[in-house]
Amino acid sequence: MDKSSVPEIVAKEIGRSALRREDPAALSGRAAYIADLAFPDVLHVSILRSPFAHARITAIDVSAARAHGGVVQVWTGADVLPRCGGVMARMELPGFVPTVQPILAHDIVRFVGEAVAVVVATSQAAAEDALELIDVDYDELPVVADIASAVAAEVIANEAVPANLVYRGHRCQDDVDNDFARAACVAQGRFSNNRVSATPMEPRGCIASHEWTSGQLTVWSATQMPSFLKTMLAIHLAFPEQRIEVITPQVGGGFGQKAHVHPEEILVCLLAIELGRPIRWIEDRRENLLSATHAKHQINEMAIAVDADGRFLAMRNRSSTDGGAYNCLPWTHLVESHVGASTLTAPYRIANFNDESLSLVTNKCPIGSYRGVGWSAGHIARETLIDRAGRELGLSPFEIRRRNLVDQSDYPFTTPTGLVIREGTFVQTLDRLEQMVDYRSFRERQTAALAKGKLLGLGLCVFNEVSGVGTRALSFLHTPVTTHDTATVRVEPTGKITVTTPLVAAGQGHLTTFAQVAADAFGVPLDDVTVLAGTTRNAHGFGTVASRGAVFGAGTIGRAAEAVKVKIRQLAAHLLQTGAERITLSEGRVHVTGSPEQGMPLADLAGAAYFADATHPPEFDPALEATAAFDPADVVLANGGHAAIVEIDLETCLVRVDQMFAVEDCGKMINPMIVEGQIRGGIAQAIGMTLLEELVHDGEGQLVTTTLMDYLLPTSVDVPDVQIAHLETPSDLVPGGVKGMGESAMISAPAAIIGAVNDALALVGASVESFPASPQRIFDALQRASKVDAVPAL
Amino acid sequence: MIFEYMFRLPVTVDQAWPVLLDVYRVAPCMPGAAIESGEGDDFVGRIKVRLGPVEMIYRGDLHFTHRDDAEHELVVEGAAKDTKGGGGAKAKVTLKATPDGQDGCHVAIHSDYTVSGKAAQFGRGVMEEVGEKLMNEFATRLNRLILEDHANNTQPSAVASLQSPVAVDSRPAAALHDNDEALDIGSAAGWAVARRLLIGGAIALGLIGLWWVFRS
Repeated sequence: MDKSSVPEIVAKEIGRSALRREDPAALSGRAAYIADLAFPDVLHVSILRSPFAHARITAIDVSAARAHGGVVQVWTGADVLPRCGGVMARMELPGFVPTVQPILAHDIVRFVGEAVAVVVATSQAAAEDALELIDVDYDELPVVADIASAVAAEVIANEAVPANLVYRGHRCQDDVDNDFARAACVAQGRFSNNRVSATPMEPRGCIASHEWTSGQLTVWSATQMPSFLKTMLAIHLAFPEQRIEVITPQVGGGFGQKAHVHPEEILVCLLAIELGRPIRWIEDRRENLLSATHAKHQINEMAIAVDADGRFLAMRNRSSTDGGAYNCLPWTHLVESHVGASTLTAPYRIANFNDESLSLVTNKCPIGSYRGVGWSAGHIARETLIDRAGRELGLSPFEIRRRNLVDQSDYPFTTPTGLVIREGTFVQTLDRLEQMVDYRSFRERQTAALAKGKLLGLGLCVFNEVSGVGTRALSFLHTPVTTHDTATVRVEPTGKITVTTPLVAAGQGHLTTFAQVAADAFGVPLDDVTVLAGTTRNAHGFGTVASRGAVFGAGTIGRAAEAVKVKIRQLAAHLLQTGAERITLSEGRVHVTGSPEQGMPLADLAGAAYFADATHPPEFDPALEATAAFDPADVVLANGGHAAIVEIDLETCLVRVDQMFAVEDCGKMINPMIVEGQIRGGIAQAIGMTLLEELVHDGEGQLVTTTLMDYLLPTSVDVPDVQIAHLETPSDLVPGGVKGMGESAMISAPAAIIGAVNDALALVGASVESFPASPQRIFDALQRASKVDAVPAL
Repeated sequence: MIFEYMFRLPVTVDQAWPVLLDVYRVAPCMPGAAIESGEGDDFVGRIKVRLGPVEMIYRGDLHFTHRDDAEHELVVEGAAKDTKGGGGAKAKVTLKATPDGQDGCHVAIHSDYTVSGKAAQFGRGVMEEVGEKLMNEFATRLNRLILEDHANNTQPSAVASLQSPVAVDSRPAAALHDNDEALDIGSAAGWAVARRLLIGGAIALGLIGLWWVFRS
């Protein structure tokens, strides 16, 4: 049985909207987040961060800070460098330029917010006060503040990266010139996506404690990747990995931002080892916005060629990522444009694709993963162009997509980038969206509204999601990394089930959904299962990222349960005097298949295994416990679509999202309520990304949006009720037939929202290609409108 | 970035000009600003900025690079650093006084500035809004100073020396004491600050004031 085998699980608890086990603690305030943890003797950390985007440090005087009351230690880059050279991030691709981000900058700072010095003190207040006493002299250096100056390369943002280019990627080099020459319609644009922050409600934090008597390093971190962090700490600190434990308390959202190894985590561990006391670093919001990875900052110069029947002939795209000063670990700059290119043409039949992706270094905070990663920006560009082509050819947004979507008869369909689509409900998704939107009546409403001076718009996007990202998927994405997770399953002597998983619960409801999987794997009630998570003592895993939780949870638990069930069947067959292949587990019993009365409660059988040697068959190994790995045999493709209806207020230029629609096909749903929660949360983030959120840098690389008064997050008043429909194409790659779907709404809903904005603006002959579609940008677009007479109010 | 401001003084250009050149007397007109020392065309000054419990002190150099007494125009360049490590600001400020056609004069200020660190990060969006309010306060105080000066008919005490042989350090008592007042952004910005933390704007603004404070 290899790591990708798929044991059968009969769904009973799977598919039920079981209430979340996590909620009583979360809702009652009893859940302990990292800042809630109390340690005697703890020391507090405050980090001095660079005020310049690019400067040489000519002198640092920490004497006054050292002398400040309560201060235990002050370190600069010179102190840290001998202990750790920095965060090393590379991707094993020819031509890729790796970088090393210093834990504390030691001669040059390369972005505003880069760590320069650290104060350790007996209180947070003392640490912060002492921080102000550090005197740093900087010589400012020329700044690479945007993609254009990165490409021009007259100034180098990071001298480790020649020409500011980390990587130039090409997924496809098809000859598309003929297609564009013969096209009836060419839609093209230059789409500037905004730099955003995942903005988890709980910022980052890390506490480390080093026990010198045992040599044990214990690290509490609000991370999505505890096992990976453990290994990276071992490597970066040259510390024995078997003596490192990473514990994740309740994590208050991550959305990808906590799926990195951050320099601060290494710094805190170094200090704990050095000082022999627990070290605590809890960042505030300003620090989070300044120095936790940013995301989505791409420019896509895209064109599609369409024939007179509305059929897509070819796509051309050049995508540039404003990647910041360093590669993040482990994703690197490639997490944006490079990964985004992988599914740019899917799920449409586009025969020819020619693309280039540039991953560029700038003097900004490093880019990192955020829900939907590199896909969000490209989907916005693609769907906007499809709408434009539809308008030019007189086809409805549904019709032009219907003519091009991959359909069942095409399977298996191989996209230009090599993605093999074997299943999916793309056309059904589109049909369902059209019904939900009630397209004809929408156009009537739109016309009526226009007469009253209101701009309504409809946008949509159909997508497939590379979910449950394992080794095959990462290979397809041209980010070659081998990953698998494990789970341990134990049948207790009383027949109850204990599952341990390495997957971090950061609000996704894993403790509930994994229990549903385990319950069905053993045919027991949900209440008989407990899921343990939150420490690297449990099991190994790559992390709760990339829509992996459901797939790897079901896969690892399903495979580990199967290994235990082999023992159970062996013992039961011996006791029931039949063949092991005739034994079934269901309804809490172990019995002969088809004859529930011919058997015994699972508790009785477990008791026999643990306590009754006389019942054991010859050579029986009574360990009712197994650990198994899982890594899907192929890309697990989920799919779906979104539609948005927006209204633009001509007075204020504010965009309001009136209605949102989602169709999701993530295979068999483990827990529909949780799936819908993921959809709603992702749509809220999509509204934020497309209409509100923007990390704004000035020409000197200064981030000027460092509070939530300037960085605008959506609130409940900005997010309408979301109408959701489900389709179900079970995966044969994953036990239980499940697929991942956590990122779907941030892959596709942004495109639907921007599509709706541009549909509304098209009424007056305007459009936006720079985001977010803020009132200023809408105003500017309206100033350029070519059909102002369409609306009397204009 | 560019900041521009114009205000009127109720005296003629020729009457206003010497006062405008008196660094030590004009400096305190900017809330929180003070000059620590000066020699020739170079001055060292600071401005204290407070927003609620947060206080920042910017300390820096001002250098008068151009002064035209005939055209009543001067240019000063300054660079200041937050003494608490939060960044800094740089500005090139041009001031020009012109007759208003009656018995007063217009003073036009043009500032090209950059700010870094905290000053840049705390909501630059309202910098102009706040800047204007601060300059209003500055102009009001300057107005008062000029009227007093006019009434007393006293001579300016110390002027920037560009084209003048010696800077006379004969500071009036009022300017000698350490100006412990802080530029309080909360009160200066009113609703704008209530809306967003404004520290940054103030600083740059302060800086601008500063120059002008040190404006010779």
